[in-house]
Amino acid sequence: MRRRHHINFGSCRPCRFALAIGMALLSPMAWAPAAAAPAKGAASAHRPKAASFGLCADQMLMMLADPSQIASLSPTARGPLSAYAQRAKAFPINRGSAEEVIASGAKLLLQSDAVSPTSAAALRQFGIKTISIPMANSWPEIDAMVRQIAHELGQSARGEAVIKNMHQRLAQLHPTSPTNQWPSIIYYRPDGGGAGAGTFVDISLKAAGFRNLQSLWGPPQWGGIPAERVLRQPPDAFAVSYFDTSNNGTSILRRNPLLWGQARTRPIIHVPGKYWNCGSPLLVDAVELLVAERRKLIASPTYRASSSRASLSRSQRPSP
Amino acid sequence: MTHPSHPAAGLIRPVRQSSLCVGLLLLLGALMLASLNFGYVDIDQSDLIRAAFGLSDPSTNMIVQQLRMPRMLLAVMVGMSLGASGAVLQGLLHNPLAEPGTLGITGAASLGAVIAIYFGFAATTPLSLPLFAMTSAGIATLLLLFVARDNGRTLTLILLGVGISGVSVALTSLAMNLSPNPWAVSEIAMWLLGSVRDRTFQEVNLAAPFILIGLIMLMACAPSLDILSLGEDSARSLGLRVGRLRILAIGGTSLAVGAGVAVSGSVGFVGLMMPHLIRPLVGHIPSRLILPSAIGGGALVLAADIVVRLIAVGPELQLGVLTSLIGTPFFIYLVISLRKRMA
Repeated sequence: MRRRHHINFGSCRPCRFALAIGMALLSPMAWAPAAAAPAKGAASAHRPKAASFGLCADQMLMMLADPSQIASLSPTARGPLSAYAQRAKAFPINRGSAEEVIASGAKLLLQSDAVSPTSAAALRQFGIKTISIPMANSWPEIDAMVRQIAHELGQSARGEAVIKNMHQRLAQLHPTSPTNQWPSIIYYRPDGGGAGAGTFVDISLKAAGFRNLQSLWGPPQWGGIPAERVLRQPPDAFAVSYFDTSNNGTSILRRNPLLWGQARTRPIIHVPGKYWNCGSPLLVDAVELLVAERRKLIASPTYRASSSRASLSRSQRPSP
Repeated sequence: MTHPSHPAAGLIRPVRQSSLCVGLLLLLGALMLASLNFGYVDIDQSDLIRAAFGLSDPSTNMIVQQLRMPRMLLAVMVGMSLGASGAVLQGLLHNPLAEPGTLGITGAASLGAVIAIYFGFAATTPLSLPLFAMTSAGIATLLLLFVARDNGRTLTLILLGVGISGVSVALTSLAMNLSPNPWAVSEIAMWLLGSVRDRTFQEVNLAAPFILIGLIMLMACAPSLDILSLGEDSARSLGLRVGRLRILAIGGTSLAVGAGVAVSGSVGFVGLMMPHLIRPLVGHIPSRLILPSAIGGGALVLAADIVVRLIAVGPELQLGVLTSLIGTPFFIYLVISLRKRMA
């Protein structure tokens, strides 16, 4: 804990201060949202300087903006869950306050993960454009999100290049085998939640050639498959991610001895949280990792033995 | 029923109310000036003074006039409502543990805020957040008023408050449980912890009228509380209109606290601590307690808000976390010392 300023009120200063406060409160400026402050070192008119609150926003800003456009990033940008942790060291870090954004001369705020909704609301009043990164849970939604953010940053060309590159890589990774021959998988987070239909994890698993059982069985979105279901029809593999950054992604499977009984005899694919912390072009890295794991799985003798046995039961879809 | 006296009764000599208030006001004023110094951007003293007059560069002016000043004012207003309502409620209910939290007003207001976040109203219309919180506090108050008019027992009110808090917590948890948006849970959780960070005059303008009316109603309770301290039956026989007092106290509390919670989330235990700290200084006279408790509450919340800004590492500590960290040991100490005196 450190004092940032030395308080030193001169003999007359308190009265001047009190007067200042009184005047400031009476002045119309204090009671009405102000016009935008003139830029302090803004990048350029059509490539505005921008700050970001929240990991997803940090990553999108680093992905799409010129370095000179980046006013500041949130602390998570350098954290273990950030895909660009190294790159983020070159930029100032904010603590998510409106003051910092105003002082940095940023004209645009990207925000995600609902980190500081009040700070963003305050900045909107002061004429700083605030964009919430939309949650993208399908590839077209990701395209649209990248386009929107790139447009706001005056980087539309870069945005299109990113989108093109993403789809090229996805096309290369796309499995050639028919869907019903894909290995099945169940994804768990450490808290027991999973990823069903309508999540960016689901589209990544599919893009890598896995049948995500939760998207077939439910629940949709971020709930998890109950252990009962797993015991009845165990998947070919489990995928886990660690968002508690403790490398303890298997904890949910370990905690339940019955689940662990299923999981210990099957491949458990660990996907680092930084690969899929939000729906963005960075998901392709997760897909790449999953494809590599899928190839290993298919090549393994245990999978080959079980797949011929299971191919019959696989055609019968479990009742929802 | 006698008025519960402070554990430290008799150790501290009472001081005159006027000098106490002047002293507390000086403290509050000093804290208000000091609070303008602290933030996330370093602004030196001379620049700060210029910015307060709007004479510095536009971004510094904006930071000082439109972020630090509203933040300072909100901390003071929220603290004053909590201090004053704590003092009034403790006198009204003859219960040293009473405060806005106990009556469920804080909980109900928080529930309103959470509903606004959960159903997405807060995202589309930021103003819906405070409006929902105040409405919800108003509903809780109406329920309290309804029971207060029919039932003379003060204990009933406290129990009803426990019930309202319980319902609020249950519904808040339900909203978090069902939330389809994974971020909503953290947004709700942070909201419940209370903060005045990055508030603007929009929030001040919205809360100030209600807080002001609420504070006036709370001050108006003062003379009746002295009579009530003789016991409810004696007070009635002396011609005290207990119903009117209750309406003033509960109405004032819910206006002031509801509007405060709406813009700052829940900041706990200030309403509990401040009256207990002031009580021995005013000679345990309920009517003399309200104004100093209000000023002291403002100073306490503002001081806490300065402390959270001084801790310059990591995410900012939520204001409610800090007041609860100070307040809960105080609460436990109170319960233990009350038990000893009862035994």
